[in-house]
Amino acid sequence: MRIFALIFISLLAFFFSINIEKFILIGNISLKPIIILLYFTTLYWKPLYGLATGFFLGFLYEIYLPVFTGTYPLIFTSMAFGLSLIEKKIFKFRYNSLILLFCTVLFINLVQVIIEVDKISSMFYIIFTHLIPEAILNSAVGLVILYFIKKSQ
Amino acid sequence: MEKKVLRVYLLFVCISLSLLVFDGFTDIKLGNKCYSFFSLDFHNFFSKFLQNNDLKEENARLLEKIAALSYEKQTYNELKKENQELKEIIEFKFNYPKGIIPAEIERRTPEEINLSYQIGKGASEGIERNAAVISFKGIVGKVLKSGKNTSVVQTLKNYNSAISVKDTRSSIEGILKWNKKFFIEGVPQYADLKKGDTLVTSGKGSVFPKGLPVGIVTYARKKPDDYSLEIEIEPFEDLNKISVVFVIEK
Repeated sequence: MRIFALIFISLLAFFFSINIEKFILIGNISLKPIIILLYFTTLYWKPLYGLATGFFLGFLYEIYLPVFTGTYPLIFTSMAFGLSLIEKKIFKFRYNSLILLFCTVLFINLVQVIIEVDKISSMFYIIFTHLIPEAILNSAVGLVILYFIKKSQ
Repeated sequence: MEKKVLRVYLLFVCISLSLLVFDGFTDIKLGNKCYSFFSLDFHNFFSKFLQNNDLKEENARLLEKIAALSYEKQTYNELKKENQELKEIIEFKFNYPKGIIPAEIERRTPEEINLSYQIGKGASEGIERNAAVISFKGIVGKVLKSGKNTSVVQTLKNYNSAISVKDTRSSIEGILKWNKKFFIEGVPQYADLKKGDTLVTSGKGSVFPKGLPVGIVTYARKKPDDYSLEIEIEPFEDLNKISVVFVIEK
């Protein structure tokens, strides 16, 4: 039953991320539902589910936005694997653990920018105007989710 | 558990790398299909929803229009039919040598026996008792009673009806009568009268003028115990279906 719920939430996250401009867009920064889902699934549920979800969503994202086929499954799976490695080394129920979410969003976005943007000069501009604010926004959303997770415990 | 995670991760990495290697073989069409499946355009969706409401209203309006047009068409068909009938009446009236008065059948007796009509014209229009009544195809009967504005027509389908008729081919004469079927009386055995012969009025008697079409012989045979022929006829006009008759002025 939980698997089906995860599949459903994954599809929902995918749907929101490809239609994000129609839902939540503050300036040119937006939410990253896939990354948030992967982060919380891997750290707070089961790392294996995080891996599978990462691969599945990466693959979906890939066929939606084909850059180099296989890139996104690799990035998302690696992200989930990386999180699963440090899962036991952090105090995940503390709010300051959300710095990990901040770094994850920043890292994933950075990889995306490296893949998609050609000029290095414009990359720094994008980091400060786009990537860091986006990481802060997603961390804030993560804060809310963590609050509910802690409350439900 | 960690080993399992590692194994799964390696499997996924292998698949991802394979995809990267075989990038050239990726079917972009699959991506387009996936895109169209997930990327619902909400503006379009809502505009389609609103359009749907507009279409419903338009549909209701069109249905009303169809109903009105259907009614108009029915009326038009009725008028066309009436117009055609009136044309035929006028044509018939002009082609007929004697003066005739067209009249609409208002009522008819429901039973088959002694069938009679009430027509919408009477003495005020010049209709007299015993005037011959005909239709487009042949004779119908005679005026039995003439009121001021209406008259009663006794049709051929009457026990009391007796009309002198003549065979157009052999000029043999006889009396047309009705007793649940039309037959001719008074034709001798040796008379030349065959099936398929046409009968017209002979002009004898004071009611029907000469030469009005009556019907066709459908059966002609010698009676075994009599000296006359047994003859059955079929009138040209179906007396149950006509709606307009013509009264011949005396």
